Amino acid sequence: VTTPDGRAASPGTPIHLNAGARALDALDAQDAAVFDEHLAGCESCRTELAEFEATAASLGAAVSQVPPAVIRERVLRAISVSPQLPPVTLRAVPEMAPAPTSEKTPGTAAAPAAGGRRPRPWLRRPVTMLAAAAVILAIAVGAVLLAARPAPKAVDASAAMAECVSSAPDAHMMMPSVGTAGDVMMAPSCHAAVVRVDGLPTLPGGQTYQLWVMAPNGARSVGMLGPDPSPTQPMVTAVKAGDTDIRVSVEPATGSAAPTSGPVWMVHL
Amino acid sequence: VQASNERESRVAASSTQRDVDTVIEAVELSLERQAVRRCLAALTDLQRESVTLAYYSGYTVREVAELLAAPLPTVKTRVRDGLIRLRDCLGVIA
Repeated sequence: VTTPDGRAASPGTPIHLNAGARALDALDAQDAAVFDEHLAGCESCRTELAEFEATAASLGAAVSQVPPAVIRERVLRAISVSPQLPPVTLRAVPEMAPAPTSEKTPGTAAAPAAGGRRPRPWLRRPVTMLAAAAVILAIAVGAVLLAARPAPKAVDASAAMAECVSSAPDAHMMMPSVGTAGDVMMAPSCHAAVVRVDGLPTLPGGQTYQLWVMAPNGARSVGMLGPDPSPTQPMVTAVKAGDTDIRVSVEPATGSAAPTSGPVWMVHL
Repeated sequence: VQASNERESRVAASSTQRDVDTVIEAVELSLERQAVRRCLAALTDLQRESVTLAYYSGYTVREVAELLAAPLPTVKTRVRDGLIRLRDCLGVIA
């Protein structure tokens, strides 16, 4: 396709050449702005760009490592941040969830798949439930994928901190002075630490372990560890100059704004 | 905070179904990945180089042109021609 109007994005560059680069988000801001302006009056450009963008999406979907890594980070973070929910609530959430923003693409993509496997109309209840579960699942997966996709560079802060700590040359491990197991991997250059709490007895109902970073002017809650902390669910926290220790206290299940009891686990900074 | 709690709950909830997710994801991805690999292989070396640098490595076409010491319009052409070929190969309909 040659350029009918011959308008140029930068000297000597027919503007239509930019469609490919635009779809890959590989144009400079200025060229992108010029091209976007051109799009308004160029229907064939819009079509081509849409096709290229769909193509680029396929390219992205084929990189298997990226989405799972992001999902894992998000799940880890969600686990570390969320107070433990009772199983009933966990099951109820996905059934209520699909309505809100859940994107259409994964939902509609899943529907034909389910229909394809079972071409007959209404079947027994278990099948209906399976189909519903499949759709909910697809929406959940899609929501996570789509939430992750638009901003792959704006990695979640916790994940970025964890990544920084894991590769920091000055990262060093510190053992608890109160408590018997677990450790803190501290990286001053990242202003962050990865905390693995272990060796604490399971708490009775109605109580939770809560992780804190202590500073002279007060405590900052890192999050709830639940009644049975596991070192396989490390917590990531920012650490500022002047912070004195990282500690765990026993709190009511809903957590506290500041520690209400002494440390059962503590690493001095 | 409410919204973020809800989102985290949803994320956490989806993780409880991880086994099934992984299977579905793996099947879909492996099919799509095969197609993309096949279609990428069908590009010329120069097209593949420019598309890969611009897409997977995240360079702008200007940076790609500098990296390859090629004229900018040439790189833009390679990217566009490469995408045309990928589009046709993958059977993309917008």
